[in-house]
Amino acid sequence: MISGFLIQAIINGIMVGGIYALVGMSLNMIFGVMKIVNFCQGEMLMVSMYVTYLLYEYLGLDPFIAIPIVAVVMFLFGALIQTTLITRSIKEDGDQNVLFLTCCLGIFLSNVALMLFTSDYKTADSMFANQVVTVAGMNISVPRLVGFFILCVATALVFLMLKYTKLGKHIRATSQNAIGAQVTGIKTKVVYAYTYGIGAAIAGIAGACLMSYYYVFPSVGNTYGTRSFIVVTMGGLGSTIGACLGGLGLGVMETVGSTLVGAAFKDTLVFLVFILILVLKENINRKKRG
Amino acid sequence: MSGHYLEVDKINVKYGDIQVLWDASFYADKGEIVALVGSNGAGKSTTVKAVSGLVKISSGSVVFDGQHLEGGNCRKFIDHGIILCPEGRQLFPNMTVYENLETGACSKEAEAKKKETIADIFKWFPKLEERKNQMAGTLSGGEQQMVAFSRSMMGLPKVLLMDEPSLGLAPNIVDDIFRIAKKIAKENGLTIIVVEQDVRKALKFADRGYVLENGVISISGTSDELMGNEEIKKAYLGF
Ligand SMILES: Nc1ncnc2c1ncn2[C@@H]1O[C@H](COP(=O)(O)OP(=O)(O)OP(=O)(O)O)[C@@H](O)[C@H]1O
Ligand SMILES: [Mg+2]
Repeated sequence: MISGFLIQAIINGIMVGGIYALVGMSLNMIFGVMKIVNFCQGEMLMVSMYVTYLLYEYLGLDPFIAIPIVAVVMFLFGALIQTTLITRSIKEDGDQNVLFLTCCLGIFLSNVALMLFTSDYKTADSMFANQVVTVAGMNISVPRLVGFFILCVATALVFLMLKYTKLGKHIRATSQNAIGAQVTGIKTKVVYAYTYGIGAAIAGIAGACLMSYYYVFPSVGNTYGTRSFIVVTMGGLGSTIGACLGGLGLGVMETVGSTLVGAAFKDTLVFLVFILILVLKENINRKKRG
Repeated sequence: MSGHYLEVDKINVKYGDIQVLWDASFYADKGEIVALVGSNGAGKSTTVKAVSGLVKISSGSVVFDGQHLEGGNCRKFIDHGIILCPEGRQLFPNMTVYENLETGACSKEAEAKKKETIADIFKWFPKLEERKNQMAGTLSGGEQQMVAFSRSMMGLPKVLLMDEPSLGLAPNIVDDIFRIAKKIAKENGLTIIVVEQDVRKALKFADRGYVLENGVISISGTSDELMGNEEIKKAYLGF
């Protein structure tokens, strides 16, 4: 039965990890193209969860059905922030400016949410709410399963977009060599706006999925923002596949951890492993350098 | 104005407070190859960056085909047909050779002619066709320069600015690229402005040349005149 619990925990972990992976991936994409670490990615997720909540509350839209709308709204929101605030704060030498900007923006967004929605938990029920399927003795929550499936589809779409579309090629080109992109006539500013917008839209998809079985409150982005940083650090900043694997790994670690040591110590375990990874990684890198 | 194809008149460029280019004037006619030579830090790259819109000029003018071009917007210059093949190649290392080339075709016209241009490029550099699905970052330096040159050609330039194409390459590869570039210039009327530290090679390739010293154009003339110039012989040709 113990192993049954473990397998159950692993399955749950993979599903939670899907969210981390997606947020991590969006963080990575923004970093890859603009070379900025976007400290408000967690809050983007929070905003998208409130958007999902509003669509549910006022239009009665199921979180899963709302995904396309949430994605578009978040894309526009992200692109707007990029063109109005971030572009203006990027200095050519050093980017502490942008770093502080994204940090503050995160705090600002959660406080606006606090003002508008108070600190109460808000939920949006999906049609699959509380449904459970039993496979080989394992109980799997249907919203999580559907959510995970959607996250996989979203990830695949992002990969295909990057690989085959003109925009995707321009995004890759700009991330690999900004000067090269300029001299080939790529409108790098447009690419930046799209990238930030797509990053926000990805967080939006994750947020809508999360809303189907979780609740939103103003500081919900904290948890996920921090997690997504752990994810990209584990997987290597800039590596998309790394972020995916890192996200799933972290999710599994959390759920298995809380099964083994109890939910109260989950975070302790996560951060302990994170610190260990940081130290080990630095050691390995130092050895590589010789 | 005397109405040359490309006319650069008294341009000044500053990086912050530091001025690095002073009243630089030069011109190039259609199908002409013009060399811009000088020692390290003379301002050669800055000059071609200014002419391709990559950096802003603080005063002076760039007039191409009768049209006044404002700096700071590379894409606009490209749409007019002025394309820079930058120093250090600046390829996209984790994209294939083919993707690198494709990216160079940015205007509508260039995109429409993409297939033909690529066919031409593979005729000039059969090696690139063999390697078209290889990541550009894994190519040899010479092959990378071929890709850089070809990527610029994908944009269907009327004026091609080449910044130190010979940097770190074997002489025979540079000769290859220069030979092909010259052929295109003479057959299709492509204007080329080439920046080089290897003065001998540059003057052999070019019709005319300018010498840039500390941000000022000090000597100009046809390649033969410059080759015979005592000062240039002493300073750059090493005898
Ligand atoms: N972005 C920049 N900011 C500040 N100064 C710059 C910048 N780019 C170039 N410079 C300065 O401008 C001067 C001219 O540089 P430029 O790159 O045009 O020289 P160059 O002739 O191309 O030299 P090289 O042969 O080494 O390529 C140099 O003194 C350089 O330090
Ligand atoms: Mg230079």
